[in-house]
Amino acid sequence: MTAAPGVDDGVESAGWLGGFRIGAGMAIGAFALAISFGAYAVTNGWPPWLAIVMSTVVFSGSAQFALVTAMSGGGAVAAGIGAAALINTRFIPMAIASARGLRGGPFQRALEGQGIVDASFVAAQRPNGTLDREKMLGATLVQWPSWIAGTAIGALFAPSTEFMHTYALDVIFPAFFLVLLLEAVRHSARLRVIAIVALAIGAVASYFLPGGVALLVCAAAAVIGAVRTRGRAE
Amino acid sequence: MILATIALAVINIIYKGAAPALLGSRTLPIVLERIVASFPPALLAGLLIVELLGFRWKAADPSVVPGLVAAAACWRLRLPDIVGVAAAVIVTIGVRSLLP
Repeated sequence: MTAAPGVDDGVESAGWLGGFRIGAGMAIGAFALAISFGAYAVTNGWPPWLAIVMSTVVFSGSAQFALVTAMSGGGAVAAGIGAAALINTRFIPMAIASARGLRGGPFQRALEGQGIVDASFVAAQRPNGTLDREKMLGATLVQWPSWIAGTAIGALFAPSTEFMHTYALDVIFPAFFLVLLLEAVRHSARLRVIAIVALAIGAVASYFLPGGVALLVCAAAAVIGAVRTRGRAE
Repeated sequence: MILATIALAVINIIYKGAAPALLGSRTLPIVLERIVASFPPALLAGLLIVELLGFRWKAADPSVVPGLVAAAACWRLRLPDIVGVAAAVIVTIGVRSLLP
């Protein structure tokens, strides 16, 4: 079984190798999503080369979709940047949490911090709450080229939404997240409750808020879970 | 568009790099440690539901449910993650081919 968050399932699923292994699965989902992003950006008037550059330097699907969406139809640049920046604020607590697990001086730590992406961060969490640095960076290193390549294909060939739907490319990411989630909560009733609360929050939030912001709101479940645990401990 | 791309890249770099550069190996308060330890299931659940429903639930598509059940079944059988994902894709293709 591939490494999963929250489960100490052996040395072979940890470190660089574990990161590459779990990153391979994520890369497939990232590739499919990137194809849809590339096609979406070009459809909304972005030149293919710029969509590819954006995926290279930003590497954040939700923010990229938000930027293109907000700027489509003559939307203001500031609004687009603001929406995308708000969506990515979720990386701030992840970066704070990762800080202790990274190495080197300030510059190297900041550089390694660029390896923080949602799924890699989650997968690299050890049961004791510390970060498996190599696993996170390994998983991200596999996903990054996949994200760029998928964007290039989507931008240059622009497959239709119907194609993505017919060949079920849209189910790849949810299926992958589901498997990771099941593994993450497997051994802990408390984490299962947190996941259920996050699902409920996410369902409501995604009706009213764009995806990245809704995701940020879901993190509230983690806060609720932590506070309740603290209350019991005291 | 170029300006927006550059701005977003810079913002992203600051978001991800500032805390590791400034905090170093200092530890967080216990309550923050607890919150951080609770992030994975919360974020995974969030990623799942947000991806499935989409803004205003416009992306909600019941035809993915059987595929997700197949992925869960593969996980239950302790098969590799990638097998579960492949099962979800295959089942979903099959379901959609049967739908009008």
